[in-house]
Amino acid sequence: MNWTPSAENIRCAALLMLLILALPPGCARKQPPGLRLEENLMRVSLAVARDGTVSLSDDPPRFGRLDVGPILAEEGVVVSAVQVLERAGQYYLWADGFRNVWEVTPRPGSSEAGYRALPLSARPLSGVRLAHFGTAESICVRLDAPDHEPWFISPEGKLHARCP
Amino acid sequence: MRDAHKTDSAAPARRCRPGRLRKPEAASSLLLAAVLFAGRGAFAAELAPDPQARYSEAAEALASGALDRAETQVKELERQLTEEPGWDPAGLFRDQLLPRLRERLEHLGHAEHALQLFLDSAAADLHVPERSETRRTGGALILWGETMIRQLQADREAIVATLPEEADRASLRNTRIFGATEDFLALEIPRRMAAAMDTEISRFLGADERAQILKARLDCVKRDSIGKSDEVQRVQAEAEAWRGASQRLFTLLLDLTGDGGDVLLPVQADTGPEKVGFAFARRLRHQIVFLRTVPGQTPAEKALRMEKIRRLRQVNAVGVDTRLATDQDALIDELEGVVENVPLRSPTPAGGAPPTVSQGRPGAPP
Repeated sequence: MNWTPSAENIRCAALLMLLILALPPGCARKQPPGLRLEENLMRVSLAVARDGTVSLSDDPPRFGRLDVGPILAEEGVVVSAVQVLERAGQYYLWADGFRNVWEVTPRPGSSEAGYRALPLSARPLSGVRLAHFGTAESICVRLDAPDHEPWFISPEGKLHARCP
Repeated sequence: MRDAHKTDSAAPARRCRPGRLRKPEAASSLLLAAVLFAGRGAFAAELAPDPQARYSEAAEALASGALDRAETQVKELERQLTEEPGWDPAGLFRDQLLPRLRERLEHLGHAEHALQLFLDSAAADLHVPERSETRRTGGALILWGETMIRQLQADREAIVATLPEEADRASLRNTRIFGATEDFLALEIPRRMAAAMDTEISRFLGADERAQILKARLDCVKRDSIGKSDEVQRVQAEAEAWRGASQRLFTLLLDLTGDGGDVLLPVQADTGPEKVGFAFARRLRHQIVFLRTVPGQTPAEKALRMEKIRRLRQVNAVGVDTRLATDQDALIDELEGVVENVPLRSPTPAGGAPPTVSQGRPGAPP
């Protein structure tokens, strides 16, 4: 039996190929399930010591200090306390007079952390409040400020007007 | 915003030609702009409470014994989480913090109810013994009062002890109903005793003086009367017994003002009853020294301390009325001044920030 592809068959095959190509590579193999881990610190006001550090915890068995001196220097403010919130191992910092919210990411296996600014405003802000927001699969950091719509920092670390 | 304010307020003045500045209009515009600006500022300064702020408020209310306020905050928190579940992405409030608050509120509600029943029953059953029931003297009545206070205090502590958590026991001691039991033990029982032994009070309070007068009379008439001398000794012994019992009672009343945990420095039982007046002053000085080291207090803590001071004043009045202690009103004034001067701190620092609560450690609410 002699079969010759019709124009319609060729179109269907092409469409099928396109669909296969459009599938993300992750679909090919199923990702193994992760362990459930909930380690979020609700916002807390931490006093800044003379040496520019704040104590994240000084109760055994957990100890932790964070040097916020460089951040205060970049903001050009002197404050007695900073507001800190932790989301899945990353810390977010805010203090009155800041123009940015700061993200601090620990470097595994060292006593250092990377940090970067997420700009909120060209002028110093006050009264900003940090909180968690979103769903268990996608936890944002929510920032509320007087006279301003809230900002959301997505799990990817980008600022949005809504929690994606 | 300040720049906008300047621009708006200056506008009417600029529209006027030179020499025709209408001052009343400009002034009223300035005033209006200032009021609007201040109004906006007042609203701007306040963010609507988020779940963490509400949780913090509820925990603070619970710790200060304001169970109704805590209940209101818990309901508001539940409503907020229902309306906008995004506030609780990992279910921390829903699954861990709220159930624990609810459980604490329930336990405290039961204990508060038990205290109310205890108070009603104690008030109804408390009868000062009739003269026919006992050989009623001042000393005997005071002994009865002391026994009643100790017994009722033990009954009340048994109710407090039904709460397994120390934090809950401390909260219960801050409730209004617990304060009412304190008033009953420290003030109502002595008041009823005083009313019952109206005549005995004057007789025995003045016993010491009467003995002195009798002795003075004896000295005057220079009569060696064994009978009269015996009467002097008997009156003096009665006065001494009354004073001993009264001092124990007064010490007990002072100890009652120490109930309530660390709101004020707890008072210690005093040893020498003869030093009861000094002990009162010393305790007040200790409170003053202690409170001068306190870095800050929440409005709720201040209210509790002022309530304790009110009780101290009442106990002081009892001490003065019964001549057991010298008037310590000046020291109590000083104590009140120190409490007034302890800086107020917000229960929700940094824009509503409560103490640290980690999802990884569910057993650590503030």
